[in-house]
Amino acid sequence: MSKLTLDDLRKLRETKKREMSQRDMEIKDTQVIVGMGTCGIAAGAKETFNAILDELDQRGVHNVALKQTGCMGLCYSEPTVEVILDGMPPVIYGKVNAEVGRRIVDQHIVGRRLLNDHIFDKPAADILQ
Amino acid sequence: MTTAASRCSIRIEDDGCGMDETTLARAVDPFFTNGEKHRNRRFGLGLPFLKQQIETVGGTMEIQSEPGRGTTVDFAFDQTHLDAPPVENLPETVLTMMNFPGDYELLFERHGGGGSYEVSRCALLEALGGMDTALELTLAKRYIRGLDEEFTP
Repeated sequence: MSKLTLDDLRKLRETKKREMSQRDMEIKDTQVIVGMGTCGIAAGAKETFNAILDELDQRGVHNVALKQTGCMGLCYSEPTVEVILDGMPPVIYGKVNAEVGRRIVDQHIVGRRLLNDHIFDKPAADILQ
Repeated sequence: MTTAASRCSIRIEDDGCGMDETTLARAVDPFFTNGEKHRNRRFGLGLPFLKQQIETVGGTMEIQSEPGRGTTVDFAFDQTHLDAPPVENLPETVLTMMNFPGDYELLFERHGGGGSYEVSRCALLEALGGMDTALELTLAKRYIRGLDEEFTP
């Protein structure tokens, strides 16, 4: 991989933004939040985070916000991932390893179907703000 | 054993409320917190854990802070120290550090083999306009990976 400069990044960002597809616009405002507290990181949340990012990139889905948060209080089911997608219930998935992270992109974000075997919770009122 | 030739240095800097001398002196005490972030909590483990880990691998750590001017934490460690954890995928690790929410500067430097590179979170944010979306993160990852691949002997 050739080295990029910060100026290259600025240009690439502008080019990619112009190329964003209709599908990208449809899933705008989608948030994927990975629990990256000590418990999450110890359980492999960094690998999950990067697998989700890689899968989004491979599918050309660039509009999703991928964020981190601390412990969601479900340490027994780390790594945890919350998905907020317009028109679907917000859910927290648990035991999300890299492979499940890729399935979340494929099934939930692109296919708009829940992964029933990994749903652990829906966000509590205090997390929803 | 530590050598200057294989060092990772990290600086985290904010422009928050800062700490007075008394608070700063207790910042690495695990049984101290100012209680502002979590009202009922009586301990704070972040900086104490960092200090412990850094000392384990023969690194250095320094905290500078002043009320009203913010806080700067500098730490450095040798990747090849006997007790250092495996580096694994360093660009991905740096990316997840940079993506951590908040308004702060994180400067990562890697030295070794006669070369070095640095990644500044503020410079990345300025170039990318943010670091939240998959697009921005993917580009940031390509940037960091490019620097690291060119650096690695």
